[in-house]
Amino acid sequence: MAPVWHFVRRVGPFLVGAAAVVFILNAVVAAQHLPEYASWTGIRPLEEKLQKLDRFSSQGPVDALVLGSSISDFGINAKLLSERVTAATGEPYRVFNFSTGATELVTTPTLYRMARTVSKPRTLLLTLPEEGRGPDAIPPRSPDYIMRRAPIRTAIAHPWLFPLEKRFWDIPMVRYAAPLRDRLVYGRFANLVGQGADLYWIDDFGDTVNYAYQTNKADLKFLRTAHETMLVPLTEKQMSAWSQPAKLEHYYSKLDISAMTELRKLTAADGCQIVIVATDVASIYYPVPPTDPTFVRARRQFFGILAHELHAKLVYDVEKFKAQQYMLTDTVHLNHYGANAFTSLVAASLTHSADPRVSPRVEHPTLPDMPSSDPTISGFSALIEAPKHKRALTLRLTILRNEAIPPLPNIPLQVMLRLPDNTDVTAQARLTSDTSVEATFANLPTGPDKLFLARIVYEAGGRLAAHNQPISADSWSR
Amino acid sequence: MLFQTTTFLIFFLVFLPFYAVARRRRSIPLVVLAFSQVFYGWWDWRFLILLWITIFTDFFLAQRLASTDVSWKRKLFLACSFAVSLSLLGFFKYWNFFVNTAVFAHLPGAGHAHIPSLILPVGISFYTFQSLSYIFDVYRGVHPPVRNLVQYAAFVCYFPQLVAGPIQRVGHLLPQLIKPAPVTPERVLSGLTLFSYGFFCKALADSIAQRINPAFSDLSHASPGTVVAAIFGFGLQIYFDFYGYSQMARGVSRILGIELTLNFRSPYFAASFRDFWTRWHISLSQWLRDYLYIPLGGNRSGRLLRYRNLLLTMLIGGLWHGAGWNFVIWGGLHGSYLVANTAFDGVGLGRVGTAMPKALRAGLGWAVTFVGVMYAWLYFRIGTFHEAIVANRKIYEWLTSGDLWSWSVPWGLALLVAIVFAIDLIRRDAPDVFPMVLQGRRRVFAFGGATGGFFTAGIILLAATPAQQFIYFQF
Repeated sequence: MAPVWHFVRRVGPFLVGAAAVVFILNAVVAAQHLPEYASWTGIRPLEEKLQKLDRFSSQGPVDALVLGSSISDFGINAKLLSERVTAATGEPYRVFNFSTGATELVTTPTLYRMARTVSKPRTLLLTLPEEGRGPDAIPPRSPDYIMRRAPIRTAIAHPWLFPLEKRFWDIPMVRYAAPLRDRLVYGRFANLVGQGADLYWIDDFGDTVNYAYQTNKADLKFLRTAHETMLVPLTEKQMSAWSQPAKLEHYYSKLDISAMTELRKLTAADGCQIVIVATDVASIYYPVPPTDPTFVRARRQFFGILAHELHAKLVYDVEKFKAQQYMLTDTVHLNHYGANAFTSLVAASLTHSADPRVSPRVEHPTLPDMPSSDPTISGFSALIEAPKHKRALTLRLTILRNEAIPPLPNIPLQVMLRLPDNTDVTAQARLTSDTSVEATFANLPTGPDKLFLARIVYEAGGRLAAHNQPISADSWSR
Repeated sequence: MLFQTTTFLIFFLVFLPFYAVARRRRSIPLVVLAFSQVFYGWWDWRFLILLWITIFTDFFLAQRLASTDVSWKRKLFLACSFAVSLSLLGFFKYWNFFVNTAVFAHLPGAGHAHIPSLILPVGISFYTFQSLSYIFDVYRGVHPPVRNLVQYAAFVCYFPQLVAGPIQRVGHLLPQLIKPAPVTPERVLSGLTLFSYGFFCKALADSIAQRINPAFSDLSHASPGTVVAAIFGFGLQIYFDFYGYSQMARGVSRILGIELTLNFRSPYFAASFRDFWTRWHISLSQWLRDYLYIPLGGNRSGRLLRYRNLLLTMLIGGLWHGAGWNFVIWGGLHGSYLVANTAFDGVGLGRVGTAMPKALRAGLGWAVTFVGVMYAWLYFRIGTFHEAIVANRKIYEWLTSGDLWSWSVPWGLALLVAIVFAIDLIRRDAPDVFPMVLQGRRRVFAFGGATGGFFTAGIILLAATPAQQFIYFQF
């Protein structure tokens, strides 16, 4: 015992001193409110979602994890899905949307590996659109390309080193090393660049919330036509004669196929069931789903082969989802209202319930083709729900405040609403913080299923012009 | 394999148990040699072939040299050793330099001799000089020849200092490799402190590089003030980089109970150019002094020959650093500084200085040395004559602009630089930056805190950046 004690006495003060300083400096860094650089993965929204998933899973089991691209990031409402399935089954059901922009099939094993560092879901809702056969190499600027050049690449395939690495990158002095270094070297956050995803708010369920409306009919028609001719279906004879690998190779690249194998192994090891939720680009749903038999056949084959390969259940609501124009953000993405409508269908399929009302009779102003000639309407205008009753006529609009979005300017602002009868009403805005304004209106139409086109405007050269900051939330009060 | 990477950490952790067993069985050179091969071969296993040619040549020639008293034979063996070592160095490091110079001089057929695929084996200048110092010492009778090949190879290959020094003398390192000092907790802790301080310095060097590299990559469009700041920045970068490496090497070695010689002693607080060269890259400057300057005649043959020897030594020293005229200019500048320094003292002009107050004289000496050294670094950093001309024009514009202090100083970085300089200033004349053995509970606690601080700062400065090679690895 004596030599051990002697050793501790000699080494102890050093270790205590070192640990104390590391601990104190780490705490100081953690208290700094530094911006997220996403140094681990190189993709900021993804790391933000991983943090949110970590918090989400600490509050209860994750029953389902949505994986997909921005199409499902915007187009699936995990919060609503959780509510609908919970209501239908009577059991708590918690869904988290871990979709991230530009995800392809090849990205999904990486995303799944990341997600399971904080939680192992029971079901994986793989939510992907049909696409033409991709290249056999990782394309530049894709998430996989970025991550293969980021520190995450070193241990991602290792079963126990990867979770350890994640914990290492969660240490504040490591996580915030890059912004601190920028501050030291440049005196500012020189290497912090804004990303498209900064414009949107991510809720606690991982949903990227988007109230925008930015489409025009010509673009919708063009992309729909292009998309419909993208796939060449196999003939009935080929379908019956070809082997599964041959069919796979018709629709999927080698990278996709190896990703499927990897994902299947990973989920099987975790006891996680894969459910494929077929989805599509927004323009396909508008004005009605396509009926061209070649396209319809090819899409069925695409998802059928995928489901077979992944031993997965297939939720196939794409043929019955009909979107109205107010549900679309742009040619590719649904907005909050589109996401709600599509999610309702998916929830019904998952719970084997009756189909919900897909296209409620929503009253909204006539939506102009974008970009609009009306200077008060821009891509940052938001479709918001009308107040529920006459007494709540004060509207609060909130914008995001992050690396890409500056605070609201301290200039006279107004809030403008276009009502379902296409009249505009305007009220002076009160700046309640650097991210929110309030405006009080009188005599607005009220009730459910009514939408207004809301925008923050300011006076310039004797007329009103849109103030270009994205609206992330709205609420009505007395 | 870079010290600041997890690869090295794993390598070292694997090495330690083998080393512990080797200490008990008195077979340290064998274990050190084996692991050094892995360490060095990690870059490129083919480099090991050159390393072993050098080892075999000097080992066997030293035996032969020591076995005869015939002067011409001894000289012949020495010359053979020189020929082999310098041929390897000359071919791999200087071949394309000589060819490019011949092309520049329009020598016919020179262009065809260029070998674009020639790769420079990492650390070749260091181990060649270390091996040459050994055969020189045997020739001069300073050290007997080593009779055991494994021991000699371990001396040349000892991994903490193999690729960038400090260049060790056989009389200093080999006895320690055979019988190192006891590994006590105090010594290990001191080694850890030294290593973490070196890690911090290296991280600081890389951060400075981040700031100044854009200016060097586009000198013609950078403002004069930015160019001048970048030159000073590079002076700091190269110091922190090489100093950081040396401290990490010494820290690793100290943990093993083997003390490497000091390579830096607050060089930027030198009071004169002569003083600078007793503080900067000490193991090289002592090598140049002992094996070049003194054999050339040193200061024993009159003033002019002394100046010639100084100039020649520094020119060769410059060329040792790199195969390029810019390094020759750098060496030439330092040679000139030393000649001027010596002349200033020698012809009595030094007495002018003695009339000044001591502090003023020291301050003036420091300022002239600091600025002169910083200016010379320009030639270390630039790649072409055109860049040198542009940079000098920018310096001139800056000096004549009347706006000398228009730099934007990154205060955070300046603070970190100030920490190293404060330590340098406090420990300017101390035998080492940190004591070899930490004693006293409060002191040990304080050094633990400092180690934690250096480590954290290093992590912050280096996390999520690609590991940068040490500048001196290319020499």
